[in-house]
Formats: sequence, C-alpha cells, structure tokens
Amino acid sequence: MKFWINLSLMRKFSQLLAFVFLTYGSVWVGYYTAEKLSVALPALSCAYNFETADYCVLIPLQHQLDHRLGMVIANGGNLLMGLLPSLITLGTFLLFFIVLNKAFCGWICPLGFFQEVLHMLGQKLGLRRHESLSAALVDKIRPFKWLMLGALVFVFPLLTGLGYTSHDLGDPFCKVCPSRLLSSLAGGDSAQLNVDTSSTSLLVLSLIADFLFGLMIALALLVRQPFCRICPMLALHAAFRKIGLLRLVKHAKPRCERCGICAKACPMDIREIHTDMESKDVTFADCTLCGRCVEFCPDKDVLQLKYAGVAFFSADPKYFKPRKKAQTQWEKNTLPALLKSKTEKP
Amino acid sequence: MIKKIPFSFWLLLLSSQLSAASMTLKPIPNPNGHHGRGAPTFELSNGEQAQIHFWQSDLEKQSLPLENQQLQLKRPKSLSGYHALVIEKHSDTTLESIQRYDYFNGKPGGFSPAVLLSQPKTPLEIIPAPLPREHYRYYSGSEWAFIIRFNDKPLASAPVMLTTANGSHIETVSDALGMVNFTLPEDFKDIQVGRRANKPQPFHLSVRWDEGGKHYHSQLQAMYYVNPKHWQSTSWGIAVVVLGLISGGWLGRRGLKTGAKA
Repeated sequence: MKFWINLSLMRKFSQLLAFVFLTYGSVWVGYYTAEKLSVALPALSCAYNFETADYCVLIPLQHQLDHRLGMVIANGGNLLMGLLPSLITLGTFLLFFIVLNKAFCGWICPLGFFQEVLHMLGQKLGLRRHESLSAALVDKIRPFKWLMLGALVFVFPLLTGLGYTSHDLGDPFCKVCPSRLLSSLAGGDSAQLNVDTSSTSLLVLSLIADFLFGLMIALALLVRQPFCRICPMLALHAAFRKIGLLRLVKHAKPRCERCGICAKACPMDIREIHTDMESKDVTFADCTLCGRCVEFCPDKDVLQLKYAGVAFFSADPKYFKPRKKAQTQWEKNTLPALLKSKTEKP
Repeated sequence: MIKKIPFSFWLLLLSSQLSAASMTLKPIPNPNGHHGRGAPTFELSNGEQAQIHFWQSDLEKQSLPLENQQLQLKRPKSLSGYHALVIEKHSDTTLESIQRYDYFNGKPGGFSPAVLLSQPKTPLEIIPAPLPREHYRYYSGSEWAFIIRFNDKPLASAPVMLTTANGSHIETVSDALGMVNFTLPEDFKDIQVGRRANKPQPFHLSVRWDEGGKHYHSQLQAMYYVNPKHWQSTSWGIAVVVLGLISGGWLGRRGLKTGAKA
C-alpha cells in the first residue's frame, strides 16, 4: 500500500513532525514565552522544556486560576478581572480547537505519539499485548479523565489561590504530567526526574510523576494509549468537541451490528462506534480523531471524517482490503518471527 | 573557574574606587513584594548626577528620580515580562553604568525580552544570552552566557569578572564573538531545604574597557538562588521510574488479564 494513501502512515508522519517541532521548536520560534506560538495549545507540549515551540493550555489555566481568579476571590477584587486571563486562555485554545477538534490528540500531541511508538516497539519485540481492553475495564477508566481535569486543573489551583492549599499545589497536573518528563528529557534536561524533598506535597507529587512515567512506558508497550485514557486534555477536548469543524460521522447500516471491526481498530476502545446505530456524529468523548475506525470499516461511506460538513476521508472497501493486508503483514514482522525464520533456514 | 584575584586587579579596583567613587546599587527588601508583584526599591550610593532610565519591555523609556539615595521602579501596569534599569554616570574621562533586568508579572505584553536585550541602552553593555526564562532563575552551579557589547558591536578580549555577594570571584575574557560563560558558584552557606527557605543573593558581572581616551566601566546585576538539586535527587527519581516500569509490566501482563481481550 502506498504511503500517501495510508492514513495511519500519514498520521505518524504528522505526529513525528509535531513531536520534533513541539520538542525542539524554540530554534525556529524563539526561546522566550512571548515568542511561543500561542501558550494555549490543545496538546501536551510542555513549558518545562526550554526548547519547546509552544505551551500546553493546561499550564496557563492552572496558573491563572491560582494567581488570578483564586487571589481575586480571596482578596475581594473584581471577579471579572480575575476571570479574564483564564477566559483569554480558553478563547485562544478554542481558536485552535475549532480548526482541528480532537485531532490535536491523535495527530499532534507528542505524548500520544510517544505512547504509539512504544506500542509499536512492544509489537515488534513480540510482547504479549492487549489489543483491546474489556468494556467493563474501559467503563471504569473513563471517569478518571474528568477527575484529573476537575481536581488537578481546576479545583487544586483555585484552592491554592484561595489560600486553602499549599503553594506547591498551584499547578498539580503539570507536576505529575508524564509529558513534562518526556519533553524535558528529550530536550536534554534530567532535572524534572528529580524527587523533591523540600515539602511533603512536592515529595508526593514528584514520586507520583516518576512512578506514573515509568508505569506509562511499561503499559504503553502492552496496551494502546494508556495515559491518553486518563488525560485531562482529552476531557477538556470532550467538553468542547461539538464546536470543532473536524468530525467523525457514521451512516449506520444493518451490517454494522454484526461487524465491529471499527471498535477493534480503535486505540481508545470506543465500542460505541460499533454499537451506536442512531448518532450521526460519533466523535465520542474519548475519540482522538485518529481515523483508524474509518480505515478499517469495510463498508462504503459508513464512517467518514468530515471537515465543516465535507467528507474528506470515507470508509471504502477499495481502501479497506489493501489496508487490512498491509496491517496483517506489518503485524507479522516481529523480532521473534525474524529470529525464528533465521533459525529455521538450513 | 574560581581563581585567586591577582594583586594588580585589587590595586586597579582600589584606585578606581578612590578616584571616582564607583556607584553601588543595592536592592532594598520590599515587605509587600510577592511573586514579583511589589515595586522593587534600590539604594544607589555615589549616584548623584547619574542618569537613571527604566526601559519597559515595549522599549518605552522613562527617567527615574533619585530621592534620598533611593530609587523605586514603577511597575508597568499592563506589561508582564522583563524590563531594564540602566544607570549611567558620566564624567569627562569615564562612563560608569549599572544594568539590571527585572521580571514583573502583569498582563501579557507580548514583547519578547530579545527585543529589549538587542536595544542598545548604554555604550558598554553586558547582555544576558539568554535571560532566565519565565519561572526559571539563575541557580548556583548553573552555567550562563553573556555577550559584551560596545557601541552595539560584540567586544572581544574584554576582561570580565563575576562577583557574588557570598564572596566568590571568577575572571574570564570575552571571546571573538564578545561572549563569556560563567558557572555561578556553589557558594551558599547554611543551605536550608526548600527554595523559599534560602534567600537569593546578588551577583554582578563587571567589565572595564578603555577607548578613545575614555574609561568605560559597566556592571550587570542580578540575583541568584540556591540550586534545588540540594534537596532533590535524580537517582531516587530514576529508582521510582524503574518501580513504575516494573509495576506497569506487572499490571500489563497480569493485572489487566481478567479485563482484557488479548
């Protein structure tokens, strides 16, 4: 199958470019914050990495809720003025988000790409992986992203600004985010790995961050997109997904009930793509708009990626057959298979 | 490299102090200062007849008055970021200057510090290359580069000295591009655990240069902080990552077994 018609390969190429740009992009855009692209990017591009081209929206949101809104409420100031920085940040985020919607997760996010690369590595090493998680487990995991967004991005920073919690909890999500470690390590700085003993809260947060980073790496070798499933950015995207121009659309046919390849192809295990026979817009809360379900749908035009209502990539048996064949071949090529074939040769 | 200062340097320093009474700028602790929100106040000695200019990040330049040897920086109402304080004292034969770059929180101004740094502000300048980015600081043990610029051009072979309030001195000479690199000395004593438990201390870089029968002496002042590595551990961090890896391996192979369609 040719590269330029394989959506997954095109997506990997986009992710690779985004990873390089967002990890080392200060070379092009500049070193200081004022020179960064937006400081409200809808992807986990970390401000702790000095080489980055842009900052993830979650860091200014936490800081503004802590230093502006929380403090204004605590000191009895003008509430609108306290809220304004957060609204400007959210507004900037939405300007980006309208353009690509949740595809920022599937096509841009450096941490998402890192996990996909690790999973490919696990596959090539012949590790016994879980291609899909059970529905029960997926249902248990799903609420965590909302908890992460609510508690770590909104509640703790606000409580810190109000003076109820320690200053160390002003940006708790950043303190545990695996992207902070990945991005700074990729930028050549190991300081973010450090366990910080200066206070109990920093000690606990740095231990959680390091543990979560190790856990994510190991799990990504065996399970698809482990951290994405609990990422607060996924939840923030989910909250605004109805305003994005890019959508996943379904025109269900009776055959869909018996098929379900789309759900198996989904790296986020969204079984509703298969089971929901009513909704037209199937850009579900956990969807990253990777388009894999469309690639692996064997029926013409049942699943489509639409931009502003115009379909630009549709399910098609003519695409499905060579794509399935290419995937089967790709999965056969593993290190154990290679070693086995070499030992079997006379 | 921290060196013993040659006797000739002290002699030169002493003679210059006696002859011209060099300016000294000391920050006065602000009891209301919080997260860069207070208006910094300084005590300027021997600064009579000095020209004091405050350069905002948008390059707007204001003159500041000196009252009872004190000067106060006005917080720009709408511009967060770095702003420069430049003090110049002219005489027929000398031009002495002190430069500082201070960060103020506020509404985003959108002006890059690179614009302020590239703007010529005094003939002999010490330009941080770069300034510590937002939420970062000059830490002891960290290496920083500076460019020596004379009349807006890089100045090669200029002797530059770093002096810290904790008593360290480092000498070096600028290279062909006017650049010098310094590792801030690990010279804090009685280090406490936690950044807020240790007061930052001032350091300054100074450079002297003679040209056209005139003596130029410039100083860049800044604050440096105890390196957090004193209460942080990379090896423990790596150990916890490894623990996470092992746990993830176990969870991936065993823990998810019951709930997965492998």
